[in-house]
Amino acid sequence: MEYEKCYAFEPESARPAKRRRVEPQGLHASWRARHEAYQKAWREQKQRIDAELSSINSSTVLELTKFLDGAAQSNSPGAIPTAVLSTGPDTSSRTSVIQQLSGTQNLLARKVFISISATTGGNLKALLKATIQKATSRNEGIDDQEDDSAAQNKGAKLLNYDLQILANYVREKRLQQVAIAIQDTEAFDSELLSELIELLGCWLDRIPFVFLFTIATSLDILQQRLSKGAIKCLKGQLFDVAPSEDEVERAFEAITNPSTSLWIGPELMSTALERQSDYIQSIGSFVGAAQYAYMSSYYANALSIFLDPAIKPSEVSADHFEALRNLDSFRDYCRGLLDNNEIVRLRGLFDSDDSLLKVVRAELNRGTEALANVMIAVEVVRELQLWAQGSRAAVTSKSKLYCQAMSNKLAGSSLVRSLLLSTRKARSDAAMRTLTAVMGVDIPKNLKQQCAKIRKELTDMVMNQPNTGQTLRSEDNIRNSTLRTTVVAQKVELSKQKSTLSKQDAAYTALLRRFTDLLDGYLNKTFIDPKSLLFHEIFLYDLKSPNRETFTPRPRHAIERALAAPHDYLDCSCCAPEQGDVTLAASQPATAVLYQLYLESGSLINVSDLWQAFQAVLGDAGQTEQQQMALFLRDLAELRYLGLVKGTRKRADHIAKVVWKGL
Amino acid sequence: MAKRKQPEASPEVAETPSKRRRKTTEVPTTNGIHNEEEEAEAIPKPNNTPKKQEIPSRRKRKSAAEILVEEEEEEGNDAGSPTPKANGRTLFSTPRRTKKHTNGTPSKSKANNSARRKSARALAEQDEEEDDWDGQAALAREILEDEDGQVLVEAPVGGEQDENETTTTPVQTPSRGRGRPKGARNRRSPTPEGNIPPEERYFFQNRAGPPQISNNKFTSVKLLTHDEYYEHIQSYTDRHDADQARLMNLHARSFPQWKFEMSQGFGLCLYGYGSKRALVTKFAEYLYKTASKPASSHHPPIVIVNGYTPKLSVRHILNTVASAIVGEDETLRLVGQPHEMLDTLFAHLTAPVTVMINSIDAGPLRRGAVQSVLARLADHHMVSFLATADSPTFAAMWNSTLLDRFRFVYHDCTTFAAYSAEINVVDDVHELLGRKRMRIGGKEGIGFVLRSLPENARNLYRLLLSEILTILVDGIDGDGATTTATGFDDEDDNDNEAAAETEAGPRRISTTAGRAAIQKGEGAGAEEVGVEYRTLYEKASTDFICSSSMNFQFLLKEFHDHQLITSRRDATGTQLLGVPLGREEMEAVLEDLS
Repeated sequence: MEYEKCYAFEPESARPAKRRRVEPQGLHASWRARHEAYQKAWREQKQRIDAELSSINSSTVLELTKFLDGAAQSNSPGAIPTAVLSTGPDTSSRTSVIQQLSGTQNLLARKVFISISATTGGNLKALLKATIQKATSRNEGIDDQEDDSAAQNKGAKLLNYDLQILANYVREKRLQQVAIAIQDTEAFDSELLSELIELLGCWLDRIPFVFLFTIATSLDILQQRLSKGAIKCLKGQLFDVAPSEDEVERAFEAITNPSTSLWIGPELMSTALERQSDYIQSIGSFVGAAQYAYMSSYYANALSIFLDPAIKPSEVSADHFEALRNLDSFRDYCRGLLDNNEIVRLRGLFDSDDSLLKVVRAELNRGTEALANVMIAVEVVRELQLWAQGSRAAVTSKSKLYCQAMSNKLAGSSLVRSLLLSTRKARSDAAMRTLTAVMGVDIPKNLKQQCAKIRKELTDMVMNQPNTGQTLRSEDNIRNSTLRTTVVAQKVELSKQKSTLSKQDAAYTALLRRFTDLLDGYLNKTFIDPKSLLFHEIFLYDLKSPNRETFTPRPRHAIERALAAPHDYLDCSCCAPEQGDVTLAASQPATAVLYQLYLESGSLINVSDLWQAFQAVLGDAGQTEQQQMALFLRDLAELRYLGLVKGTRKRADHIAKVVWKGL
Repeated sequence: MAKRKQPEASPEVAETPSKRRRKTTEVPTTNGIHNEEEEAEAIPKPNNTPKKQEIPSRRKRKSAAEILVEEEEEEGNDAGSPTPKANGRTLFSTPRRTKKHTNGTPSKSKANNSARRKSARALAEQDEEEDDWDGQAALAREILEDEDGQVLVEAPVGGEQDENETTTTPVQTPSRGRGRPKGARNRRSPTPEGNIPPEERYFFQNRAGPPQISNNKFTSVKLLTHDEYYEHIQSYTDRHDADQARLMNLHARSFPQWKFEMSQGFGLCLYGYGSKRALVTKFAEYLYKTASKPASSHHPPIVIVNGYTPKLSVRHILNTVASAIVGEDETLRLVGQPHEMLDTLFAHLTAPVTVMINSIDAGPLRRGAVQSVLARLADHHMVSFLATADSPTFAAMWNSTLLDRFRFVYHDCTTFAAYSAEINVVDDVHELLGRKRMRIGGKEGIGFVLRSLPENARNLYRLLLSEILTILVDGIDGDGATTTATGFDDEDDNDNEAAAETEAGPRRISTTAGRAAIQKGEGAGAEEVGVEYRTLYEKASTDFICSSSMNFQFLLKEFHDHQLITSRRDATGTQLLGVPLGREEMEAVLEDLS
């Protein structure tokens, strides 16, 4: 079969030999249940992400729909109505908008929405052909017969790139609009695009065209690329699409929704986010990374079975409980119980699976709740940032703060300290806004009550001060003290002097301090180390390596390593390097030998020398010279197949080295 | 320099003015080296005329440049012989001794770099006299080296050394730092291979290499034919077979994981060294066995594509997928452009299907258009997609749009299995070495074809062979006079049966009697003998083999179809006809024919 081009696979023996049914043992046994749990968990998560993502561009889609409707109503002669979508360099957002749009538009009768891209056709004929075909093939299924008879009536057969076909189709179906979305305007040959526009412009009186350009660069560049005639045919309007960072943030928010059962840890999350920002990738790859994290956790971590709240003790085998009891966090917990002399409870956890399950459930709830609280605290920090700095741009993104908080770097950090300090300096109106904003966040009830109390006091204070309408100032604000320079005996002296603050101001300062102390206490309490939570191994997944290996492979390194140090893969006794020193040995696979000789050579390799060296290394390994020659030929061909060498015309019987190692 | 000179008591009265003069002419920065032309002037005549007398008279008419040259020569001379004799010039009387250290010259190229030197040389050339060339360069170098030796004060120049000893000292003294010594460029730097950054490693691994390459020829080694290759590779047993099997089992253990990943809409991409075809087949078997059977007991189809097979087209793949999904009863014909075919296919795609592509980075599939079709196929929610990639740089094939569609998860599947199906070893190596491909079947194959051809075709072929052989013989006979190149000798041809005429090194045989042309082959260094099209036609018509040019062309086409002849154009555009056989094989075929 290996020389067949392609074939449908049939197993060697049509009837598979009767296999002993091997029931998975131990922790593997729960895979089926975990699989179901995974399906459920991810489905919910995916729905949340999809909802977030579809909402992100909904306003743009709405505007575009309005635009298309308007274009359909008013038949502007002479110019094709054109919507220009500026999306930035991210390819995914443009496709998502176009997809959403085509989804809504194609449902409507009397409207056709088609999208073409640069790969659709390299010349005008191919483009037209594809366009016409896409436009006319839409509801062929419904009235096939009618079409055929109509075509027969026409008599003369039209060429398949003749726009007359489309015009006829439009007339028959009484279409109001033919919208053409061009997805990658930059990828088009500019002359081709101009030609297409001009040609379609000529048919505008018979076919009601509408254009949708998505541009990654700018409108100016589009204008420069098009011919003057083409620009005259267009009547454009610009639309903006949300940048991709927003998409990532929205997806992130969905992933860290408080109701999620499995949380993605800071390390994994930060690498995924980093990858997303370093290489502009579509949101799909970020979601894929999250999905893979879920998959890995449910697949490889047998204890993830407990994430399903509805799990019954009978469904879980004893191995799982045994594994639970061996968790590090559980051991620490037990030690704590011992220290508190709660021996009976401890005994119960060891002896009874049921009681352990109860604890697990309670602890899982508590743990995920604690993590959700971290998210709320993060939101509080962001609000403080917003009002302290005064602009949206200064606010750290939620995902970044999340990563810091989850790796326990935020509690007592300089960021939080400086935020609280600047809050302390705020004037009364700003403080009022901050208070309101913090209360707007979903903070715990008692904190909210205390905030409300402070706010009430503050309002009273502002109302009751003698000259109403003036804001109260904080003592801590350095701007309220003046620096005084005095020249004394040719020396400059700096002296700080507090400007006179009223009694109300002093009271205000005290109140603010109460507020910040309250916040400080809250934040310090909420920003916990997730690794300190009991059973965090179950609900927190933070392994970087599976994701790294599956999404950012190093194929070149793998091949080089296999050839330069075959023992690493083969793990054979014969090629084991002595004292960690990788050397050439006759026992290694012949290709590896040849590759290492190849590494030693310069950019041009004399095949004769290579052959002699090869022979010398293989030495008396038991092959005949002819066999060695066959191996040599095979390995040379392999190196060529891998793209490591190529022929050269510089010298006869030489080959050129193409690839160097270690990149 | 003047300073340097002072300690040594210069005995010549005639020289002192020259020094002063030089200061005024402002050329004393010399630590450079002479060129041969300069040196030519500076070198004494073979008759050992003492220069003492000559110099003043010359100087009057000579330019500053020459003065400089002379100065240096004198200076060097002085330095080189710490014990100047009364007629110190006699040092130069034995040019022979200087030959000994021609290798030790530190930086001749430096002189070339100096613009001033160049102008000096140009001036010097104007009235250059006939000098002996033998030893001049060496002598001048000696001068310079002596100078160098002096600069480095530690130069161990003994006071009472005889001439031979003094000549050796410059070699021992370490050369001055500026500029690298000759040949250093080609010497490998001793940079350790340890922890150097990748970009440095590139330069380390790509050091200029020519001197490292020997002039050994591979021609004396006979490459294997297809049959021989298969025979020997079959008989070879790899000692790592067991380890490879273990590696394979290791990969097989992740089959459930792969299946899970596939079911979640990810595509699989397997990479790493070694053929992954067997692994893919095994995985297909696993999927087949573990597939949850639908009620109809119809297994979800698995389509396996071998990307490395030549002339594989994407239409073929799509059609195979189409026929796999509709089953035996119906036929689904896909027509049009690949993307249109895909649209039709998707319309019928209602049940899951698995597509596995071996070597997705192989030649036939490498084009962007093909990859975009495959990506669309992989993107469909009913299609589970698996691909293997062999080359280390396969990832460069896909842009972000394609990657979005493939949704690959990558797995390192190094198997160390031989690429037995993927590579056509013998042909590939021939191509790599720039030799023409060996025709499968060789002599026997050609003989077989010829037997089935009509009489006059055989006659024409015989004529062609004899012409070519004549040219070969002529070429060898006239070797001394007409061949200019290296490595062409009778032994080559005797040794090599298979590809005799191609394996010789570069050679050029001039046309004999204007009717045959030998031409350089396309491959590197490979050359091929051919007969001019018109010549062959004239010969054929005089021998009554063919009556018209139509007839002749018809016969040639027949030959061409059976790969009996090769045809190409040389630099002047003349069409040349050749035979893809070694000389011995040609002779054997000729014998069979007559």
